[in-house]
Amino acid sequence: MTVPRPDNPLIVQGDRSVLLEVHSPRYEEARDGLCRFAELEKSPEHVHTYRITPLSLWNAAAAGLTADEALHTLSEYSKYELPDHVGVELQETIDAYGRARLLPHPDSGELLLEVDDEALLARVMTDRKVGKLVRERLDPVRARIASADRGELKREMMRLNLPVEDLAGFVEGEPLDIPLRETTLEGRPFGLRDYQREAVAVFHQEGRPTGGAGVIVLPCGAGKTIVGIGVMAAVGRTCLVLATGVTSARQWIREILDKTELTEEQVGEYSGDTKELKPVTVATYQVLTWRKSKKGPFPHFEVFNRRDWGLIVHDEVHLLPAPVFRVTADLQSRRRLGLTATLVREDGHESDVFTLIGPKRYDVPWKELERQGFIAEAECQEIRIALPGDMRLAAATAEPRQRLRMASENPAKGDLVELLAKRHRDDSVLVIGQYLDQLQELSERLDAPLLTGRTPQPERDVLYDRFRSGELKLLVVSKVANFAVDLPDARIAIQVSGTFGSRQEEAQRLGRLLRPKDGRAVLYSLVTKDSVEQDHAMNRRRFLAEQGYGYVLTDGAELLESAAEEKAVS
Amino acid sequence: MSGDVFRYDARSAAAAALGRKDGDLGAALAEPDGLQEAWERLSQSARAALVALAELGGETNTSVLEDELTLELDDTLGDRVEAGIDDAWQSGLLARRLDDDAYYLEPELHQALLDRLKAEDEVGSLGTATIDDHCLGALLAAAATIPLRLTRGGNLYKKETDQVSALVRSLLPKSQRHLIPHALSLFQKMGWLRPDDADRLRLDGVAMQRWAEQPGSLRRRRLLEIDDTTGRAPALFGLLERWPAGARIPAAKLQRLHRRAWSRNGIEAEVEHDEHGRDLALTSLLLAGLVTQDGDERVSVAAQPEDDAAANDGPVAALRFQVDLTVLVPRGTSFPALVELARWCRLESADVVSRYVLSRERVLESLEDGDDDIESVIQRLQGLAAAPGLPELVVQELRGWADRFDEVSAHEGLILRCQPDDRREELEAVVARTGVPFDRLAPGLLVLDPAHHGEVRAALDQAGFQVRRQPRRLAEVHEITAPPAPPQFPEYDDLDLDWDQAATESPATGAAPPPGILRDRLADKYRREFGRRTLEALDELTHDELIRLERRGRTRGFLSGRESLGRADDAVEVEETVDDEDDEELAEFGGDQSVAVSPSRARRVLQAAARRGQTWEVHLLTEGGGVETLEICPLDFPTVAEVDYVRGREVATKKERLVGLDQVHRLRRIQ
Repeated sequence: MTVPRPDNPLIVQGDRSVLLEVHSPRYEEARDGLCRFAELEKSPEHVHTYRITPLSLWNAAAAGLTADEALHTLSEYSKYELPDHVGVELQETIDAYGRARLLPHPDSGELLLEVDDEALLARVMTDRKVGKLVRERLDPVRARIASADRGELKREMMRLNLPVEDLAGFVEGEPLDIPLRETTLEGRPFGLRDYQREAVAVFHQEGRPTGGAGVIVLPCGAGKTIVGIGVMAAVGRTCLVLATGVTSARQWIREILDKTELTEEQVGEYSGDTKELKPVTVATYQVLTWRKSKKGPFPHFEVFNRRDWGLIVHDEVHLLPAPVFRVTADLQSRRRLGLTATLVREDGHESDVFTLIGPKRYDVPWKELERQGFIAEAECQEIRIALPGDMRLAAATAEPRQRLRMASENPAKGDLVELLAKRHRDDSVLVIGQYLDQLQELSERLDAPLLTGRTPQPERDVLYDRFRSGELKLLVVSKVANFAVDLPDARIAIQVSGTFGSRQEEAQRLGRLLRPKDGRAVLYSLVTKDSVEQDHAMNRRRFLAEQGYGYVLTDGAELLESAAEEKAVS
Repeated sequence: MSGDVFRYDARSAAAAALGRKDGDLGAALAEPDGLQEAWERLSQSARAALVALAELGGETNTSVLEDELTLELDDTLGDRVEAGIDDAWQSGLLARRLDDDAYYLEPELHQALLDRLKAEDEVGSLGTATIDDHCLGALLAAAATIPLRLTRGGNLYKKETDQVSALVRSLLPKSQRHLIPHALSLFQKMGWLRPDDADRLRLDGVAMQRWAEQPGSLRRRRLLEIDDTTGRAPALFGLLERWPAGARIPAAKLQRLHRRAWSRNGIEAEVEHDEHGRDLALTSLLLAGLVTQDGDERVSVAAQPEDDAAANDGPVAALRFQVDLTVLVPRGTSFPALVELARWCRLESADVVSRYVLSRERVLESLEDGDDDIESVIQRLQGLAAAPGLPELVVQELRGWADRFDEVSAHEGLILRCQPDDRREELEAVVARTGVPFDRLAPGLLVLDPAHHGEVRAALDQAGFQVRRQPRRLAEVHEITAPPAPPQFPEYDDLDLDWDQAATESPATGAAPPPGILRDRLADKYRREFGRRTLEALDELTHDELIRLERRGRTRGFLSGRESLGRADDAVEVEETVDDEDDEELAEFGGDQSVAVSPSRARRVLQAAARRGQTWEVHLLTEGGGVETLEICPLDFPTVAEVDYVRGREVATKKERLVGLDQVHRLRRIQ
């Protein structure tokens, strides 16, 4: 063991996590080296945690990084000697990428699987599933694969820890000129920001087969839609955009019309309401995955083949439904872009995203964008309030599930919501919750409209428009508003209840507030004191704390008391 | 060198063995590969003979050399010993003197062999002990994190030991994990892990802290003393001191030197092995952090533990506390700080920088074990935290945890229970005469400090009470008294008293029992629900108030306490409120059809029914999936093994029956 080098900012742990000290003078250079092959996992104030995973290494290898470069970065900036096994594993993992390649077959429309050595091909062919996909062994290191099995082969090879470098290229699709506007329809100047331009370039790679498929990770409010539009323009082909819902689809259409020279005739909506197929079509996940019976076919999957798409954009790729993965496996010859704020999938399908959509191409820490002023500064406040006395006994003896429900629907939260809504009467405020009864009651108490999954789409549109225009300052929403609802002016969110400690939900809710605005956004979380909800809140806030957002704890009773005193004085 | 030699010229022979025909031994040894090539040609036993002789000073008589080789080669028959000496002699490197039957090495060759042996013990980079302070701290925290229990035989469960092992796996390579059960056992020997009442091992923070504050060298030696069952470990450690830190020494050599040192003092050194054949003395050295395992066959000398003493005194504010309650603990953190953390934290992962997490359970345990209060804990954590200190959120969490500490406390007590009604007052008088403080839970039921058991028993013996020598367990008392008598007042039923009317009558008239009996019965009935303060309040009530209270208890099953008794109007108002709630609760159950209920609602409804003494039709789900219908009059609601029951008298059989509330799925009021 060599003597520690205290000025160095990296600590490489045996579990392949890497700690990076933010206040070290060598922080920035170490970060720039590290982020090429390690995923940023947590970025609290002082020490960031990165993790070296097979996926992160293969992502790096896909971008051309060698094992020696990665190891050099680690030893150059590390405080302590690297754990032996980390170096060995890193080398082996990076070396695994590219040992198998998919190439176009020179004489047919099919594909070639080419591997480094004979033994490797023999090994993969002994695997039952891969063996089935190989049509013919052409020579010791090459085999013929059907084009239709391109996605499936990549998935199965990934299962064997042999990620395939896909160099088979893409079908070009119908050409479509998509010039970006310099001023929006409303006359405001428009241009991609530097990081957006960089993301587009990294994805597109000037049309080379090494680009054209992958995921761009940007925080909510950082303009993922704009990046998507930038990619569409760079590719210059017909495009199918998959969005999470109708509201989101319409938002995409609005943005495309606002930021490009495309006309309404060229941009269509494919949803439950409308079935348009235009050179740029925005479809919803719901309509694609609709089917008559539980085991029946998905009739709307035909939309993928009805046009010769040059690009498919998967918005909120962390929510991509499993059936769409299946169809995506069949669409490997199309360029495809995934957009998301977080690659965390509660269902553990991250490797499917890597295999079928593509490696992560671009990522930038939330706080970095906040520092640069591209997303709003935000503050999180957890306010704890006890259950009213008469409910405590009942809660103490209730079943665990019921106990959580009682804590979530704590009536004392109503007073707090009212107080906060009054304090922020000039701001746009969202009250977000999980339980419809509770939300209904709050809606009546605050005299604010309630928007839930049951709200018809036209009514939703009206409410969103009023909220967006500032006419409506306060809106009570269920979890339906967690995703892809563009509420540009929301400054305050008050969450009164949520699902069991979902970090993703917490991130998405804060995401509602992050679009650039003057002044600081605030996310209030109302939590019942000394209840199971408090434990869940700890989990939920972890994600944001890890992103560097400070949490302030406030006592709800004191808050109400001081408000009452103020009122009495005035 | 004096005396006749068997070989004509030992120096020439040695030089020839090294490939030098001119007899110049010095020149032969100066050749870079001379000795190495000759060495490689020798048999293993011949090499052993030369090494033994070199280490024995380069000259010794035949029997000493043979004894040494017998041990070295583990050759009781002597074949290999003889062959080894002969091979070495035949090679020309070993010389023999006939006059005193001794073997010797030419001085230059002896020195060369010693140099070679020394080079074998190469000094590598300064090793960190296998179990250094960082690892030991993590092991302590892991022992506090995994709920360790003892088997009946007093051993640890393997599954739990494996969990500890998994937690610290990054710090201990697989080859060293055999040390973990050994370490946990050492912690028990040191008194840091003690079994509690449930045979779960808990860390004794105070004992650990006392030990941790000693200088590192003393700590290590103390560990060695406590752990070493062989008596050899300190001697081995003494031998190690001749090497610098980082020296890599074959374990077999260390054992050989040690055995030789002891045999010179006439002690036979037996090497004790564990079940996997490892030398137990070396294991103790590894555990104490004095050596590091270096491959399968070598150990290296760890950094001098004396260095740790300075670290203990040095600044410790190096820990990074994060808002999610995790603490980043880098290698090099002072040992007392690690021990303090183990008192308040769970170990999340052990590595170059370990992650600890502040744990509510551990913090509250530490308050119970002797930390003054949460503010002192916060202050100490502030002292450990690197700039900018403990995040405010962490401070708030800690204070929040402590807010509810000690809300409920458990006390040990000796319960005296007198069965015959007519001797209850006598019992109380005798105990009172002893001057021992006691609480009267109910007539004939006293609780007092167990420390006074003997004194009180003697007094009761003298007064003619027969007291058992050993207190019974509470469960036995329950068994004897089961099934419990119906909690209501059967005697009053015999009196056929109209309670509503009785309350309006003058307390001095009618069938009201005397105040002493009323008070005792009320105390008996309500002691569980309302505790001592309310019971004391009973003593201050007038007869009239007692009757009114009794009436309400009888008709409503409700006691509003002393304050409401003092203000009768308020009490009535509260009663009415309860009545209204009951009415509301029960209203929908009066029809022809039973109504579906959740377990919690079933409890509320049946409680209300019990207050009114009503009979109800209860539909139960049976285990086989069927439904059983009962008519019962609910009495009370015990909880057994965390399952809630309603105890009711069955109308058909007139017997009491316990029914799980989670089985009840429909209810209907009959009367």
